[in-house]
Amino acid sequence: MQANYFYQCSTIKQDCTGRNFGPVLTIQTFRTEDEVIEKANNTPFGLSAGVWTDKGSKIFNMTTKLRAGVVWANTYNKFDPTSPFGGYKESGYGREGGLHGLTAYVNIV
Amino acid sequence: MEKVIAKKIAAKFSENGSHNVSEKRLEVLKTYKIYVGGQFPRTESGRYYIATNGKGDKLANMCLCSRKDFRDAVGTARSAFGGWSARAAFNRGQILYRIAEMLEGRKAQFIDELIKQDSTAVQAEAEVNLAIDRLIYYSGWCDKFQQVFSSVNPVASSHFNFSATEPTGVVAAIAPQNSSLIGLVSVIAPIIAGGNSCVILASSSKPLCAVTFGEVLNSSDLPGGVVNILTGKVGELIPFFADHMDVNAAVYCESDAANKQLIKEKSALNVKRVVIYDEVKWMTDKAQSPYFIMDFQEIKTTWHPIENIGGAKAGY
Repeated sequence: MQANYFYQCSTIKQDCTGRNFGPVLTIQTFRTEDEVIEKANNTPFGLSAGVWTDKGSKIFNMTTKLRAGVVWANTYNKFDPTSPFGGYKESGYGREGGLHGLTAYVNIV
Repeated sequence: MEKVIAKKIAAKFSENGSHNVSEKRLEVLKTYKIYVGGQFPRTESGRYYIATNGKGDKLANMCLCSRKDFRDAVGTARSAFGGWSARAAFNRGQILYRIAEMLEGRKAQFIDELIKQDSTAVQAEAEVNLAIDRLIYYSGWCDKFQQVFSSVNPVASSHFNFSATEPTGVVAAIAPQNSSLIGLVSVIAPIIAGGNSCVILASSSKPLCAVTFGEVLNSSDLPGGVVNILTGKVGELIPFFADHMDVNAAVYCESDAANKQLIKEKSALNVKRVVIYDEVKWMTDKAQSPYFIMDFQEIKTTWHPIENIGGAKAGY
């Protein structure tokens, strides 16, 4: 597959909500925070998300409303063995790494 | 003959302690319906089954819910999820406490229904008391489990990194079949304490308390749609509980191997969280812990960069 980008694609099309394996970038615009949260959560998946803004209170408004297992604020694709990794919804079950990664290996009574 | 009837009526009047009631008065029996979206509709299918006690005596006609009833209930639960999960954790605790208060006020009715469904008076009272106490227990945990199960993670890079709990979403549960009240309450309480909404199928053989518990929920500030209670047959509805694509977690409480397998296989369609409580003894203390809440929580990890200005160090 060639490198592509889809500009102003619709969320109902598979481009934006599906898992594209290949060099594909989908871009959508937004006007309000509510709109962007709705667009970001309008998918059966929820592995990770990223937010860029210079306003601290806005960052945490966004990060608490995005339904994803990992949320990067003003950064992206950071990983660490002490940081739990794993998805919401159809992106997976359980966590790897950190304290929460250990819960699958212990039986606490 | 007339004299005998007159005597019987007299006896009835003295039992009631009232002599003003017309002898023609019929007792008003309760119509057991389902609880969906804060209302008490009948099943859309118009079907019913007869609930009986151990001896086979008829207790009531119950709604025999269909696939469509389940789908409607999931839609309602999904709409209610956003508002319920966004409530302050403390407020959810207050509402769970209120549910316990309402249950306490209707204790006699629940004891009466449990006795109809083959409990002894002593067992019935113990079960209702424990159900109230269990609601109080989870009420307390509503705003505390988050601190216990969240963490700040010591990542090697210059980031502030923390993991916090968030509710999974809509939970479809099949209540324990061998109890009427305590199993149902023990499954519902940790689900809603954590901010989820749920659709629950009551015990098929002992369904009376589930519907009455719906009335308790309805009078306790719990927003409509957070808990939806259906009655019907497990065998008919279990495939739909497991394969609905807008359900995030499925709960099963029996040890039937075929049903467990079916739930696991169909749940894989949309990666539902499958929770099986086949070894829990609901009347014991082991049936309550914050881990029951955690069965319906996701962990969200947030990364935020930390700027190192001019190599400044902590000035101890």
